[in-house]
Amino acid sequence: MSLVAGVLAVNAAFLAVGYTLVGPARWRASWAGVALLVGAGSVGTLVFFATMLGWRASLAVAAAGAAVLAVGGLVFWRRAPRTRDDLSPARRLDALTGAALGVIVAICLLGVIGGFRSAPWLDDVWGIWLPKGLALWHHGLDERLFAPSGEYVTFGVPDYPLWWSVITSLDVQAVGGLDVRVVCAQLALLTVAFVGAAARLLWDCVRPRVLAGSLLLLVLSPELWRHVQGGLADLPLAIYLALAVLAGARWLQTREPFLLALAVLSLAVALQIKTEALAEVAALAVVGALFAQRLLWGALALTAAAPWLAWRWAHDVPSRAELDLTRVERLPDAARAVAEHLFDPTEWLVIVPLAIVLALIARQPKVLLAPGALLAVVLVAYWIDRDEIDFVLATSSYRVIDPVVLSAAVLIPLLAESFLQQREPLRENRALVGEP
Amino acid sequence: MLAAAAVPWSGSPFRRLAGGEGEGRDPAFDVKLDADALRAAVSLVGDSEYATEWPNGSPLQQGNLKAAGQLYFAGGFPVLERSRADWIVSVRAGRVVLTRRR
Repeated sequence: MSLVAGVLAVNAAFLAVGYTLVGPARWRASWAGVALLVGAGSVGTLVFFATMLGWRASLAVAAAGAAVLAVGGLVFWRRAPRTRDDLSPARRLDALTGAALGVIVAICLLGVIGGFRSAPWLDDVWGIWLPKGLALWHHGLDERLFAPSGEYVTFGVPDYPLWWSVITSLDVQAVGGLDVRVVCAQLALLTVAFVGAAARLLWDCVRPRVLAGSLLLLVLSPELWRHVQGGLADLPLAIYLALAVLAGARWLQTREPFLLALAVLSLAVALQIKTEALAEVAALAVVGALFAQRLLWGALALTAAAPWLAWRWAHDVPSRAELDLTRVERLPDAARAVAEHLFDPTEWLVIVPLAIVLALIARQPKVLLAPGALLAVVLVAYWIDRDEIDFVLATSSYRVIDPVVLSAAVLIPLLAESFLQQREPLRENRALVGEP
Repeated sequence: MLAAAAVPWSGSPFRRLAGGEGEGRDPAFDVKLDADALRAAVSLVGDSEYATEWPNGSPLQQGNLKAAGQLYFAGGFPVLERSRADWIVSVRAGRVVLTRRR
């Protein structure tokens, strides 16, 4: 199969599985973004877990896993109490909003084309992430390659979980030959799915003009597409963490069980992408508990980290994060470097400062606890890391902030809508007393 | 916007977003490394044990060759000791050389 056909075929399968899992009430095109992220997250996680049981990360195993998930989804929704059909109110779009949405679609289309035409510029991607996936396909989770042995060349960062490696390996297999562009193509599709998922989840509660402006701000950020073309694992991690934040925020508003399940699933998938996700998910679980007065669901998501932790423990795979709390002097440098990337308008435009301003003027500063908790994890990681601080900051500070930025990005429309709603009764009251 | 992305060599942000001039199926190595030669060696290495070496190579050159081995020869097993390897994948005078040891 060609590059395009192979990657699209894999994602069509993810999409189909995702639709079975989100339920018949959401079998609409507008739910495609959510369905793709749910399908890719679920299938990738299941195949990753299967490798720990001795299976190879092959297309056949993925197909079997996808079938199990699809049947499970269909059976669940058949037996589940019937909920109301998803009948979102029709929203009237003014010309400006329509134009903004058109620009978003055009940018996403170009971003996907760019993904298929780009080889990842980050050497870790072709030197570590993708080779791990290919080894999982050929050998399974063979401890000779995935655990330090003294006889074989072990992969770099052996403590990292392998979801991203599995997903990109499936793409290579579907394409029929090694082509590193699958990584950027896959990441572009997940990124566009994330934009679509955010639009879908916010459509019912945020006025279209605010939603379009917020998403435009995200897709116009140069760093978003630079990271897509880099193939960075930080971006899918950020996508699933931000999806969890958004689904969790919407669940707090609606108490719809599906949104809670989506949040938990997203956290569980995030745990399979990078090691730091464990601390980030724990931090978000604590923040979620502050808002929802319950820790159960966050704790449930955290259990998804157990299989990989158990495999690592059983095979003596060391962690890179050694606790060294003595070097507090690393914190100011780390904070400065991270802040430079967060607030540089040539990277992420004004996403983070806008989220802060909106949280303050909407009188909801607590909302900033979610991105704030993720930021705290990043800073603590730099604090306790043992590598030379200038080196680690230069090679990672631009990308480990992705979860902070994307979680701020999904909160912007909610905060803006809240601010606008607070102003409306005030304006009406003023009109009543004769003010202009 | 789409037109701006389609104009070759324009250097516009939209052109970059669409992948610029486009890249090939092989990685953009940090050093000069012959991807075609590595691809040609894949069927020979197969699932055997191999070692990589770049005599007098810099750490970056050796690192790139090691990573390229793990990428292209994913069906094989990279070993630390040369004496254990069935195949030696080396770079000599800028060329990828595959040597069978046993």
